[in-house]
Amino acid sequence: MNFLEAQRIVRAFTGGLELRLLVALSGTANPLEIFLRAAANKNERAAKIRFLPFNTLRQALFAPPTADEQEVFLLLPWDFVPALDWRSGVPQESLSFSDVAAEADAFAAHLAQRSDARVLYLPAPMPPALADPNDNARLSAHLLSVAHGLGAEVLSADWFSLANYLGSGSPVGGMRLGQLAEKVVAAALGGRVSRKVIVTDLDNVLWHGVVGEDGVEGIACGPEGVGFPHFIYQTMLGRLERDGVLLTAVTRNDSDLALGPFRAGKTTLSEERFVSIVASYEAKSAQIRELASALNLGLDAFVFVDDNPIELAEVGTQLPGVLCLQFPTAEDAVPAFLDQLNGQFINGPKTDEDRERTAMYRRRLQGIAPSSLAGADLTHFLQDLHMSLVIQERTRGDRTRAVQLINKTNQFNLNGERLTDEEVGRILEDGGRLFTASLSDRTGSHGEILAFLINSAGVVESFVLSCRVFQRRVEHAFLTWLINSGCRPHALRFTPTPRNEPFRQFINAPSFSNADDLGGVLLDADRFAEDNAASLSLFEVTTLTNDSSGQLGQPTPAITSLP
Amino acid sequence: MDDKALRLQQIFRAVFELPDGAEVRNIGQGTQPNWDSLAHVSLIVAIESEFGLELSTVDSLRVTSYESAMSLLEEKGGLSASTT
Repeated sequence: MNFLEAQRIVRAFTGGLELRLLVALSGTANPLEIFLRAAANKNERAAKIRFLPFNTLRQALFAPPTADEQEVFLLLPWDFVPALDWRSGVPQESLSFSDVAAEADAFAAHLAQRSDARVLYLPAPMPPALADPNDNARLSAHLLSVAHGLGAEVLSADWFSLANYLGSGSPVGGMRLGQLAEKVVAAALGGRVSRKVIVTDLDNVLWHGVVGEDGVEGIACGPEGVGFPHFIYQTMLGRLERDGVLLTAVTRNDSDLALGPFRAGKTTLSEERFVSIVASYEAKSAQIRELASALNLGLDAFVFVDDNPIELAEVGTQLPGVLCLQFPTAEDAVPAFLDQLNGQFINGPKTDEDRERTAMYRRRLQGIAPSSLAGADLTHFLQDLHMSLVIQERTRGDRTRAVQLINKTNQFNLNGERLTDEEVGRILEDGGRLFTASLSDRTGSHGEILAFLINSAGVVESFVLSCRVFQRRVEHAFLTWLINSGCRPHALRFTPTPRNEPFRQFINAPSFSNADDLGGVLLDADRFAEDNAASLSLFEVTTLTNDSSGQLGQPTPAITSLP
Repeated sequence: MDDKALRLQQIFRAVFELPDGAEVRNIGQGTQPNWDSLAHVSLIVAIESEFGLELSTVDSLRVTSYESAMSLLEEKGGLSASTT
């Protein structure tokens, strides 16, 4: 949640139950306010927030809690041991480990008397206050242990910003305030909730790769190479399932594709360890809602894991009670992710019932069908991505990537036809045109993700989009841009394949109609452009051409029937 | 108008409690009455949050007006030229 998004949420909030909150931070907390209000509003609560004056946290412990006010303490190392405060410089006399450890323990004991307080701990780097570097490391570990003893949720150390702390007194920089606010409000509303169900995505989460594009042989989830993080994730899920957590999967795939790796014996987790594996191209929030209903569990029992921020936003928007976690893209982020996942399920003595729970629910869920309920409106989320589309005409020059995309894409693929470079070249020599598009957003570049080939008669021969960028309306934006530029397709050589359901969904719109005996579909270009103008406005579009004139090619003539 | 410039203007209006559409491009510390230390901190964190930046103390002190904030973003965040 960034600043302007928080502003929008607060402005749009129409009211809710009051949440009276004391955010106890020894530093400057005021910059957090708008984010806290937005985080509360997202939970349908109206936040009434009180902060402590700067550097008065210890004094505040001597006053009793205020009635009906939820206290959330955001602690830093120097709250336990004031001599560790960066703003005081390095202590002039080195401290002894036993003295500072005792001081920390005394502070923790005093705070522990406030039994209703929620605690977050930010393990910020400390000045080297002890002469022996080993003692500094011991102290850091001791403070972490003391924080755990208080039941604290431990935040990531890299959230601490020394620049902000020294400059303004706020220990957390602007980039993290949205996340911090979500943590504070979550702590205030529910403390440590034990979830019961994991809903996991499959492609690039349970395994590396996209089974619909790479095939069963092309995905990896073994203890080697690119599959290693996914193997580790599967073993984590396996341990949780043995402890009584229910495993489910929701994937945008055909059912036989989704189950293929399990049935081929490629996964560590067998299909039977899952209560349900839902394969559907409909909104994931709808599938999760269906699962919750079938399992007779509240949505706050669910944790959803996906690698795609669009899917996470869709579920998070539509089902705010579900905890959404992003599967890490970098191996180094896997430990923190697993800690966070593990921390959602309170561990306790396991019973035989825990161990039998999956089998019991599998019997109950036999035959659950995917739901076709609509998903969340992601317009605001997509706007906040600040997506850029670079469209390049490749009618002349290098078309290697375009041909590669045409030949490797299965799901968003007009007709599944594989074209050689020579075949594409012949279409272009006859007056056809070739385009590609590259996508980037505020998370980074997604590379070249779209290829489009139209012949001289205005019929689309190939139209493919990488599955990595589904749900962003790239395909709608591109085609609208193309029509507005004067290149107006009137028909698409569509053929249904076992894999191109996403393309079928794209053409299931009023601007497309059957071409009757000729096969394919006809396109009402004007209607399509009008219906999808809003999708185009989600993108900052830049055009490139490899035509020596520097201009886009001549528009294709309008023809009313397929040749 | 460039998208980043639009967002920066929205930030200025929000931080200084100005109405939608208010002209902010000529705002400076000397001319904006409610530009105090708290507002300055709020402005810096809003810029960091919105543009995904981590600003040093030196960077923060450079922001004394809308114009200097734009200049900082050009340097740190690459304000792009207008496109279609």
